[in-house]
Amino acid sequence: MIKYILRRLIGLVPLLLGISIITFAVIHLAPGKPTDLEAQFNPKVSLEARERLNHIYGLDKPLHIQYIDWLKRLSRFDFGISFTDSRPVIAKIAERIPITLGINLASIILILLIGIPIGVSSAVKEKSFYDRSMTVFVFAGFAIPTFWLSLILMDIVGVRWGLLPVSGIKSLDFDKFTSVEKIIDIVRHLALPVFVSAFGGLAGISRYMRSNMVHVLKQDYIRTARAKGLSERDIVYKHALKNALLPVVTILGLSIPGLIGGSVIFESIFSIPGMGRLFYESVMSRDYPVIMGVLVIGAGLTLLGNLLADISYAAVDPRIKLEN
Amino acid sequence: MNKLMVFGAGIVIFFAIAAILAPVVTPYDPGKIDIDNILTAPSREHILGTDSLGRDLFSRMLYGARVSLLVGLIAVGISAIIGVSLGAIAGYYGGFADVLIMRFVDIMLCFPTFFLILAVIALLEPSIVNIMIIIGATSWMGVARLIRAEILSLKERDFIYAEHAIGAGDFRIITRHLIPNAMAPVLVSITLGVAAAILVESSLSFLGIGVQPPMPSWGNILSEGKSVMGAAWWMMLFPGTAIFITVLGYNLLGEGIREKLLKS
Amino acid sequence: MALEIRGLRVSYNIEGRGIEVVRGLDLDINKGECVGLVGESGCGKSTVGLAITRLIPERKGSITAGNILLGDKDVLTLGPDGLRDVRRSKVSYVFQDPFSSLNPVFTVYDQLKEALPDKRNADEIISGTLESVGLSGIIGNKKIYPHELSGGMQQRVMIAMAIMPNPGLLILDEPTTALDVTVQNQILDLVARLKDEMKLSVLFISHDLRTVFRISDRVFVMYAGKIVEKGLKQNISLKPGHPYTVGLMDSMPSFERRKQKFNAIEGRAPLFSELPKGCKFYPRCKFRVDDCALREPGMEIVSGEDHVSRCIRIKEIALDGISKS
Repeated sequence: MIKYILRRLIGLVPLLLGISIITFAVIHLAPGKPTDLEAQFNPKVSLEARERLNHIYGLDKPLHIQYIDWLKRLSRFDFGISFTDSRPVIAKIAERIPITLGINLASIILILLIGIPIGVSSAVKEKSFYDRSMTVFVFAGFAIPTFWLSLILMDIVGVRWGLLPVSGIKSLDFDKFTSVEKIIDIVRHLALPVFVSAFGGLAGISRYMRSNMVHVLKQDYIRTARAKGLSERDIVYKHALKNALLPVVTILGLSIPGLIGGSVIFESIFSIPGMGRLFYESVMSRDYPVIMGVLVIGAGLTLLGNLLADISYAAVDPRIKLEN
Repeated sequence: MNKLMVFGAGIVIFFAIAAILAPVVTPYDPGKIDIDNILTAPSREHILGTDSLGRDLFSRMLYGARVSLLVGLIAVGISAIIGVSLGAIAGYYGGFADVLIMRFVDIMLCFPTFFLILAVIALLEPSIVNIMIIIGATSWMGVARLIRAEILSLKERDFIYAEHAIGAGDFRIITRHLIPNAMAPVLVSITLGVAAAILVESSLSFLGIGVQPPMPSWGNILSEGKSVMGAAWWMMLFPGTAIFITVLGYNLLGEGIREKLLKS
Repeated sequence: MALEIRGLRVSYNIEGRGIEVVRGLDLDINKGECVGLVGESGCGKSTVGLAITRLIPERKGSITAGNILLGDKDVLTLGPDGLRDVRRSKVSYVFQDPFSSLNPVFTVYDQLKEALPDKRNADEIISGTLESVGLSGIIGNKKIYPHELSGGMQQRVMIAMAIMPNPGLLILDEPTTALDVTVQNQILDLVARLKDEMKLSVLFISHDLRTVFRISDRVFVMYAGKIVEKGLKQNISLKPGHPYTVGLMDSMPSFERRKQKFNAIEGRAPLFSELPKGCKFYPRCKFRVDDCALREPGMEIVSGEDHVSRCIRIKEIALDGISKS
């Protein structure tokens, strides 16, 4: 197992290198220099000052030297200093990551808890009215724009009914709360964002689970289980379910970039201080060090997620032998 | 499932016609400001109401359909061209080209696409052309993988050997024989891709970094709708429903094509 | 009697239409007897096997008529609990492909244990059964998964699973077809030995007349959803009563025949949706006359009441069996 993980980690190196090259290229090959824009905000910045800025950021050196310098700093987790508030980029990202990951984790759990039973029950009752209704629900889930769903829920649940707060992750007087109240407060604040971010994924997983389960239920070993006289419950929830569940692990890994990317939208709408909102703000203010930092870390998180998915898959599927 | 496909195709055609006929059927100029009729609810004069500048929402929605569909189709066209070319090269030549291209695909897939799009927009001005290019340039990876896989299996077939035997060049074999035969699964991916591109465009426009006002798009109408949320429900309901139904239409059509292909 | 099937009819849903693939079939198995059911692929023989414990998936088709008697019980009238009881302890199956018939994500031990109706002394019984199917090598290894075994060993596991509840009837559906030739023989020997030792009643379904002859006491030949010939193995092999049976014999290269060869049967098995009106074998038969196409023949006696055939010309034509060599 440890050998396998080590080998996989080494395999990540070229991918990480590729991620850094693309990130660097996106920012530096586009027309104009980042400092042009920074200087534009302040018309008083003289040509001389601009050159000084270029020098500080190393933008007067050849591109490949710039890249290698940046990569060297990257390897020490030094992402530079933010243009907007001069704080280290890594610190800005580090304080935002837990919020985004927390929301995504909560929505993944919600997706699994609801999506898997929906998929399984649709497959068991294939082509029934229930199955058809779920198919309609799934297609609706795929098609509904996240930001629109957010707005509707904000308007109805938050504003009209006044049931849940619609912005931020905690109340203003949060510090005065007891610890139980604090937890309730956070849950109330995150309920809508988590629901919204889970909604699309819910459709995906239940559809995927349904087709897996339909496929598995037609396999020969299900006929064997039935021929042995097992109960329908054991056949479906033991023999079929375990086979149908295994690939879901991989799908979860693959869905990570989508979830992280989607965080931009609901974090902006619900004013949640997470990585997505940080990225959106950096884009609006053209804070290049932060943009590059979030890109690299976002892609790195995806890599990590895929790795975790592969390792868990290898751990749960007896057919995969890690030693070889 | 076929019923759903017909339903999907119906939606797609309906919106396409609406977009094409926009100048003919719209009762008002979509940019015409009417201070006397700000945020009026749907009525006989303005069947979908007016926005905060008194512009007719129905007219703006129809012109918005042009923008959304155009962005969706061209973005997917770009992504198909990139994906098909790279996938075909990787599948046909194999070896180093294959490793290089497929690694590139792996790396691109690591980035949260929406982040990548935002990052590029930060550099370029958010114009409709740039948005098409950016969406296209960040969504071709699935197509590349599909085409590569198809060509890998096709190139071992007899008719391709026969082409080699009569001295056909690589370019001819790839463009005349391999790609046309590999297109079926790509068709599904392209149809679903239009839906995805429309969603991305409207999200960007909603965030204010997509199609810029005064040019109407469903996303930026919704963005305006957000600011008048309590006061004008129609500003949120209609553009959102339009996006939802259009995306649904392309998804249903794509799924329908997939089922058809699976059966044959 | 271990099993008695009377007038069994099964329809499959094919493109929205119900098409009959078992068209009134009679079959019986005495206690301790091995009956071979033989026919080309697609003649409905596997369907008969599945019908015995109602394993035909609902989406595929349904049993429309007949009786399937196990002792004094008609399987077709059983409720869910009764049916489960029959499947658990009265009738066992061994299917064609052991690899796909074993669940890949559960251990062999777990799958064996599941097959035991009574879990007391499970370990002892499992060890004993594994020993008797020639798998003493994996006794006590509770962590082994199906994919770690060879095809032959997997099929031995399936057999172990099937005999463990000491069933009143064992159904083997092409149990050797997916295996290598050498392994096929070992599995056949194993089945023959177990049958004798445990006095099992066996339904052996195969397309291969040679393996059927090797293991069965009586043979039923099936064509287009009906039995066309039945009789004791030695009677059929010496004096086949139906041109189709002779065709089956001739398609096996290793059989030496006394006289001229027919070679394999001409043409292909007819589609169930477009069966001919009279004798279903008529279009492919070397001995056909116009009368054959008029109506489907009934059972005619070939030699004694136990050996009957669905051929109106059986008294006129001389069919050759297999020499004893």
